[in-house]
Amino acid sequence: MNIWRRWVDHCNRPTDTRVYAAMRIGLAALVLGDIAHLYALGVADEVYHTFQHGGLSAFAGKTDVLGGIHPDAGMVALGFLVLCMLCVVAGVATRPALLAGVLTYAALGSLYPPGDRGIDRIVRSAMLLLIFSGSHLRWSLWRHIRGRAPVLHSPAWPADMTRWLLVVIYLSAGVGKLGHSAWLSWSGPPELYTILTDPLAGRLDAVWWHGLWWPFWVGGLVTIVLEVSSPLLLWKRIAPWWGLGGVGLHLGIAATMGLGIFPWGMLALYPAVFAEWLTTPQPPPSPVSKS
Amino acid sequence: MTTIRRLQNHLGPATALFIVFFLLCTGTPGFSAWSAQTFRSETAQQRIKAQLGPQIGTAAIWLADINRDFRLPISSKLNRIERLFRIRQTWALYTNGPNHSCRLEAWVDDELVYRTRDAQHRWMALQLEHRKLRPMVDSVASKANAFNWRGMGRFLVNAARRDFPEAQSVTLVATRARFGLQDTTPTHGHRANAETQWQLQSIPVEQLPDSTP
Repeated sequence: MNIWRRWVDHCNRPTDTRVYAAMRIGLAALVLGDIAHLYALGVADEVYHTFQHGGLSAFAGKTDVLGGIHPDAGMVALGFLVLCMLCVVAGVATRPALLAGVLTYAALGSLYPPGDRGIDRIVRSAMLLLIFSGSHLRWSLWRHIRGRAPVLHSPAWPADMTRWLLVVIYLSAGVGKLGHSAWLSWSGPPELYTILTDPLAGRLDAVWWHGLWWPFWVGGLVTIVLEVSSPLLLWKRIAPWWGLGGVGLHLGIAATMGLGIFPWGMLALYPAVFAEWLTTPQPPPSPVSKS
Repeated sequence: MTTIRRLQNHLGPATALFIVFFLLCTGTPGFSAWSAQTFRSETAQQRIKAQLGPQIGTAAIWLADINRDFRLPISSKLNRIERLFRIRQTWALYTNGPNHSCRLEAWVDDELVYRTRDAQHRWMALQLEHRKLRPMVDSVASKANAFNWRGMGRFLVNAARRDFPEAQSVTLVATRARFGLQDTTPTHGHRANAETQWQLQSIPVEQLPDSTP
């Protein structure tokens, strides 16, 4: 069997569509929750208007298109993004809604660059991958209304690519930490201590924890080991076991840092990590090529 | 199997291959800080060899050459896709912590109403700790010349005038302390009042209110 054929068979092997449907609903619900939170705090207007029209950010991104159209273009785009994400959650016109939603989300990010964080890029990247997946084939209101039975399996490669994305993210973070000698130094305050007690991002009390270094040294080492070992995610049988550590890492971040949706956004990608455990062993309907 | 079905079976794997290539070129772990100039000059090459030893130094120079000759040119082409969807694949998630503990304070007249992560002074805290606003609070608190002083300042002054209608002045103060110590000192600040048409103006450090416990 030639290499390309092996690659085709590997990519087209079946995976449970619940993996994709869970990611689809999780990511879209996260974006909706984030927007709802912004509204509840009464700052959506300031965030999505340009500085000239009373907004917060004194500069827009290079690719900003909304700022020049109309003062309220950002708010209209935000409404459209909500509509797209509602469609994605419900599984109605899922793929066009994902594409339109990602483009709108990106445009809003250009309008207000300071608030367009790493997790926003991660969510957009994952949503683009979902467009190629069978996320619309399960838990879809649209299919339910039309009386179509859910499709149980679809090709596994979008889940593989999601794990590949996670590897790039985690490994970059791990290699970056190894580049700073302070992470492996036993003298002075550990890096993890300064991160978790930074009043602008952490939740721990810097004075209370001062001098109690060992939890931070251990935590820092565990984080680096986990991040550097992330290529294990590429082995589908090992990935769920690694994922248990990843879940612990993100729950730890959620408990000790105020990073908003970051830990939950990362966890929304984890159905791809646990795909092997979630996939039922029944035979696939037939997207697999066996010519 | 029809020709279309056969093509469909190959389309997904081909797309997957492109995505592998895309992420590998644009987000290569460890290379995000390497520019075209990294280890290019003779001096830089000698320095890295002296620092890491001849073998590892030579390998680093070889990697820098690959980065310059292959990865960066391809990456700049793929950059169009990244820009369209704002999915730049450079990840440096908390590679190091801050050097100092910085906070932002808001004073209405002589009363401290907000201080970052201070349970006693929580005016607008929920808004300022939201992930969309926190980066601006971060830059304003840590840099005297932060680009967004104007936007963040105007936002807080407007909110203070709404919530404290009798207010005569609003002062924003950035403070800095060493981690774990309570040696908080003001580093820079701005004040707005009726005399300045409620426009924030920079004020000297010695005139800033001091909230040191």
